This record gives sequence, C-alpha cells and structure tokens, in this order.
Amino acid sequence: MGFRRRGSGVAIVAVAAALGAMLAAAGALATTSPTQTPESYAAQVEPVCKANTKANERILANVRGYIKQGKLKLAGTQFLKASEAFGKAVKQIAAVPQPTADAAKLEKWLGYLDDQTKLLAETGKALKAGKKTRAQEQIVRLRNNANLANNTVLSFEFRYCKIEQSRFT
Amino acid sequence: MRRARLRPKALAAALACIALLAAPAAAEVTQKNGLIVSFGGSISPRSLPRTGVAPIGVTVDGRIRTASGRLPPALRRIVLEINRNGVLEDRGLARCRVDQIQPSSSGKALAACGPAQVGSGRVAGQIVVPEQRPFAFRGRIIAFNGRRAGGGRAILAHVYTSSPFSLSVVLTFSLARTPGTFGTRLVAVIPRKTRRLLHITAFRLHLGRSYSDGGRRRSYLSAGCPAPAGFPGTTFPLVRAGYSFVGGTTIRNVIVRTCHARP
Repeated sequence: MGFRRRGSGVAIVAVAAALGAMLAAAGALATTSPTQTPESYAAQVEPVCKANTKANERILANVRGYIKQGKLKLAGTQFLKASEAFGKAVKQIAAVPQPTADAAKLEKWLGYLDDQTKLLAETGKALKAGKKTRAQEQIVRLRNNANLANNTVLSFEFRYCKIEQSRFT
Repeated sequence: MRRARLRPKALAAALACIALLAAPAAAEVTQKNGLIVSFGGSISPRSLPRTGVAPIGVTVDGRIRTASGRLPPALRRIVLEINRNGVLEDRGLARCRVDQIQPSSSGKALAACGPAQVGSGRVAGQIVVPEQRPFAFRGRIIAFNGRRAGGGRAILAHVYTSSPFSLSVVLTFSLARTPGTFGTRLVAVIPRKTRRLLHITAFRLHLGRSYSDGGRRRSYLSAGCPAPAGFPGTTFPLVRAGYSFVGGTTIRNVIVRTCHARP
C-alpha cells in the first residue's frame, strides 16, 4: 500500500532492513563449543544485536527526511555508517562460540548477515552516486535477504537478532 | 465471531486428511514459545500512481503451526493494522448484519448479503471436540462490509465449512482509525466457545471491491505509491498482524512490500 500524503520513501526500507538485523558475520572466525546451547548462545548474541539496533536507529534517524529532500549524498553517508556499525557487530557475534549441533545453520545465517552488511553499503554507494533505481534495487534485496536470514535461525527465537524490516519505518 | 453452528454430518468423514493452505515463499515467519506463525500478503496492482490513489486489492495469508508438530493453541484475538496511506472507503456500499449471515452456508450468506461483499478466501484448521481426536477442516471465508453491535464500522468474516460438520461462524473485525504508521486497525476477538472448538491453522483472504455509488465508481480499498522524486518505487510496511493465543503467547508480524510508482 502506498502513501497518499507522506510517502515513506526508499529510506524506510533500508533503514528497516538494516536495523533490525544486527548481526553479521565473519563466519570464518566462528568457533564451536560442545557446552554452548541454543539458549546460552542467544543470551550472548542478543545484547550485541540490541546495541547495534539502537546505534543504527541513531545513525539512520534522519535518512527518510534526507531522501525526501533529495539530499541523497547525506542519506548515502548514513547508510555507509550503518553498514560499518553493522560490520562491527558482526565481528562481535562471530566471536561467540556456537553450539556444535547448530554450527551449519549459524554459518549460513552469518553468511546472510554478511550479505546484509554489503547490501547496506551498496545502498549507501548508490545513493551517494545519485543512482536512484540502483538504490531501490538494493533495498528490495535487503528485504529479501533479511527474510532468508530470519528463517534460517527461526528456532533460536531471537528478539533483537531478528531483522525487523519495519521496526524503524 | 458470534455463535457457532455445529451440525454433525458424517463423523467418519472427519478423519479425512486435509492439506493446509500453503503460505507463500515471501511470508514473514516468526517463532515464539515453540509456536511458528508465517504471514504473507500482497497488493495488486503493484504499479500505482505517484500522486493520488487508485483502486487496489489486498491479499493476506497466514499459517500457524508448532515446532513440535502438535496442535497449535486456539487463536484468542487477531489484530490487523493497515498502512496509514491505504484508504478504506465504504460510502454507498451495502452493509450486512450478522443475523443475516449467521448461521448459514456460504451460498446463503452471499444470497443475503452479496452486495456487501468485500472479500473472500479460504481457511483450514482443526475442530476440537472433547474426548475425540481433532477433525481437520477446510472452509471458505467471505468478508462483508458491516457494522458491529455498537454501530461502528466492521468487516464481517463469514467462515463456513461443510466437512466434517456444517459449521459457520462470523468473525467481526471492528475498524478504527489510529495514529502512526498503521492508520487502520481491525480487531477480532474470538468468543470463548468458538475458540474451544476451532483451531485455525491457515487462512488466505483477498480484500477488494469496486462498486458504483450514484453513478460514480468507487473502490473499497485504494492506495498510491508516493515514491520520492526520481525513485522508481518505494518499500513500505503493508500490514502488521498480531495474533494472541490461548495460553498467553502473542506473535506479531509485519509484511513489508514494494510498489512501483507510475507517472
């Protein structure tokens, strides 16, 4: 459904996708632990996700306005900052030992998160370059990738580590 | 939902296995307390005017299951919130009363309130009768423009199945305007007697209706796609759904979709 008066604009989505997620990952750095359980793993990564969510909320707070005003370079810069923050969260999450039985699933998830980081950066670059269609494409990819990431770790019942695309729209 | 009508027909037939309605690939999925809810939806057409609004149809679908494979708890309350820029218009559209369609089959409900129809769909689930194994059922949903008991606007969702029993219920979704991203809120509370009997596990509902009012064409649902200048489209939260279950678990899902802006 669209927007009759105050359209939400491209930013929205991007923001959303970006933020909700928070995690990411350098899968190659991940370790496993036979004593780690899904519950204890979630307890360790959720604070990282929560912190990243709040950080990205601040970073992307004005993006919607920038896009509506045609200030695409500013909006793009904010996306790049969000991508950077996301990447840092990834490293923290990747350092958390994974339950051995869930290692394959979490590796896949981290891969999607890594893609999410890249897509955020791509969106930022497209906006800075004034490539509106390209930016829109990246946003759609962000949304699709977020769904894939969420579905991979459904059984962990994450709250903050679930990518909530609409959280900040 | 008003009272349910239970008319035993052929108990043996109740054991027939009924396939659930499949949720689409793009559905948003959430798991909480072992309960998994997928929620999907779309608008058509996706190409909408950049300024102003045009008639649309909205399809929503959901699937409820448990991680353990057991019967999911019964739904207690459903909340659907629609993006504030969607316009819901019923000026000049016929209205239906619950007593016109309950109890009745889908055919009789349409005969009584056809001019007020605003949508249709399918539903599946389990009928739970004490001391018996649950019976799978699959039925039809027809949505009517109506009024709730207090007089406010409502969508009456008539649910009917003929197998394993003839059963009809009406879910009354009250409509209200709300501030924020989601400007229209639909709420249905399932009465205790009904929720003891019915465990809905899947549904699909299409809302949309074009009608004539005094020679003027109107649409029950309309929307635009006000993408920023130069952007080919925009992405937006279409519907936020909240499901409250018996036992206390509440799960919320948001469908985010994209529209294409046409000049």
